[in-house]
Amino acid sequence: MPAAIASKIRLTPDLIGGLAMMLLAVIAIISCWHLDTGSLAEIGPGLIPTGLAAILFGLGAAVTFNGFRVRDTALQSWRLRPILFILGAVLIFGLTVRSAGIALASPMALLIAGGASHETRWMEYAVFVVALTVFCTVLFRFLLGQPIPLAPWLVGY
Amino acid sequence: MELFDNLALGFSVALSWQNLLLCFTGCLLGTLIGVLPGVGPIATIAMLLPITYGIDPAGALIMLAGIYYGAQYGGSTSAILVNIPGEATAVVTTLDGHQMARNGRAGAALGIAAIGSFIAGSITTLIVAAVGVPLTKLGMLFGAAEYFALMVTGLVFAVVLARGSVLKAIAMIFLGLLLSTVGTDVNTGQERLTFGISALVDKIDFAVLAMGLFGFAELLRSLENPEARDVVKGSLGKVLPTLQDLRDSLKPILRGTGLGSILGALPGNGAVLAPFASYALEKKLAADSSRFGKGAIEGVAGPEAANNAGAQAAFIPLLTLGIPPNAVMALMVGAMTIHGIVPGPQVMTRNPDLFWGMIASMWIGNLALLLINLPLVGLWVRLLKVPFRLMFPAILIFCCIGIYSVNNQPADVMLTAFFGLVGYGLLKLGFELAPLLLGFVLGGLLEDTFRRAMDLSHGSLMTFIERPVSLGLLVLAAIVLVIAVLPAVAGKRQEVFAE
Repeated sequence: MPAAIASKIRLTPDLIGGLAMMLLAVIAIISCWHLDTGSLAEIGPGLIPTGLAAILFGLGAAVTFNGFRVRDTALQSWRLRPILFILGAVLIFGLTVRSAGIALASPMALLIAGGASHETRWMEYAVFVVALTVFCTVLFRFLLGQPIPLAPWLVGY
Repeated sequence: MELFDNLALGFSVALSWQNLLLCFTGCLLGTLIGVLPGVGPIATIAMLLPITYGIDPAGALIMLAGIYYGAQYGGSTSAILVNIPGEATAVVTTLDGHQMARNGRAGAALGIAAIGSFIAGSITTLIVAAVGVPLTKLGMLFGAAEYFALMVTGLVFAVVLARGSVLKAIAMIFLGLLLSTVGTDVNTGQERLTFGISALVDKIDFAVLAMGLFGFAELLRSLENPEARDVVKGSLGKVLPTLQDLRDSLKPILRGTGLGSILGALPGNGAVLAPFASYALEKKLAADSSRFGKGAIEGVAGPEAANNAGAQAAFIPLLTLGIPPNAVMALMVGAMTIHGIVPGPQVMTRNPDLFWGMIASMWIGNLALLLINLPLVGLWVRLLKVPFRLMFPAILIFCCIGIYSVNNQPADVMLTAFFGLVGYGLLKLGFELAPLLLGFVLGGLLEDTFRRAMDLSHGSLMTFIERPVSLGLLVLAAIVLVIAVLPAVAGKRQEVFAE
């Protein structure tokens, strides 16, 4: 696209958000393409999702249009550090809880999560992680009797 | 009187030792988590949901209701003491509540909030019990078309009551509706929008979506602007309000209760509006409105009563019609379904002990709150002084364990992380998450009633217009929507939320 036009387009939240909605709607419609839509009298499995996605596409287009028209709101920047460490911690917990058990998966997730904030004081945090792990293990596994693995690699369950 | 017979049955259930204990524990735990700044009732309930799985249905719902009231009150506590509302409805409480705290009257603010909530809760319990029977009978008369129209009306109300752009709120509703179709189609058994991911075949679990959007996304947002929390220092002052305080607060409390119970019963999260409406009303009625914003006790008593009345009245559409008016009630639906109870008008006749037990426990829950909060205020203050650098890992791990416990599925934990990222992105782009969640919650019911209505009418959309009740509801929805986008009202709406 020529630079002159590009400089006129300002990236606003509505512009990005509207385009994201439209993209999502297109993905949903493609994904439902093989499903039978049927008719209103005999609704097939594909009709409702396809219909909803089509409406979402229209709404996304309207939001995008708004993004061109109203240009006073600026795009907020994303902070990568919390995203990386918090979501990383959650993923690690999900990936390891079955095999490592709550007694090991929790401290691993917690140690990663500590990186999310630059206020973390690591010595204090290490003690806190141990205490929190013991607390959670006792509370959820023993007091509440949740069927969450304890430490399969150590005690076998 | 039938009403008193029913309430007696309810109290016989709610007053068993086990249920009494569950109600108290729920209130205590709910306050404990809800008091943490930035943790609203939705995240609190989702976190504590697994605890209730092992209990019998009535006990579990009584405990969840207790958690809900506790979380609500906890939100007000952090609003008063740290000026950070746990959720939208506590925003108003920060205005005068935090000012009272700064004037050395934190105790009185917390006290009047508890007392106001208790009075509001007691009255609303009676209202819920009184309208329960007639509304349930009405619900029995509703066919698929009427239910569909009612939910559409509810969603329209939710859009109008959401903050920010109406257009974006509608987009979020449809995104939620679309998400609700993910998974196996009930009628044909075909997979829809699963993208070959096995975790999606069984539909997206509500707790997973709620925790991702309201737990993790909020956590990410709080981490990026570490707010300088100013927990009120020094003396809290007396917790018991003076006689003069009570005299000043009584009428605001009663007016707030009225507003809250009417708005809260709307099938579209009207409870959100109740504290705002109450604050505006009290300010208008006050002899000297300049005191507001500087620590006027009426500005705490009225909205807090409205808040609690609204929270409780929100049970009306859920218990009588089976329609959750907001995200918290949607979690209740989830909890009921886990125990094999399908919410709807039939609950009252099929499980009268559960229905009336829950209503009676509302009153007991409010009493428990009063008994817990007044003596324990000091504990909440100390909890609020725990630095955020230690609080966020604790919240994180509770969420992880809570989500895993819902279905014992590691994939759920990962899906929650994904929705956390989605929620964060949507917040950054200025989309509200509450309409999304409501759309998701009502999506299944909407699709089901739409399909049944189409089956019955042989595919004629006219059925929604030919049936008078359905037509009336849809016309109401259309009027509300048109009014909301009219420029004059749209400006007013901004004002209400800006305040």
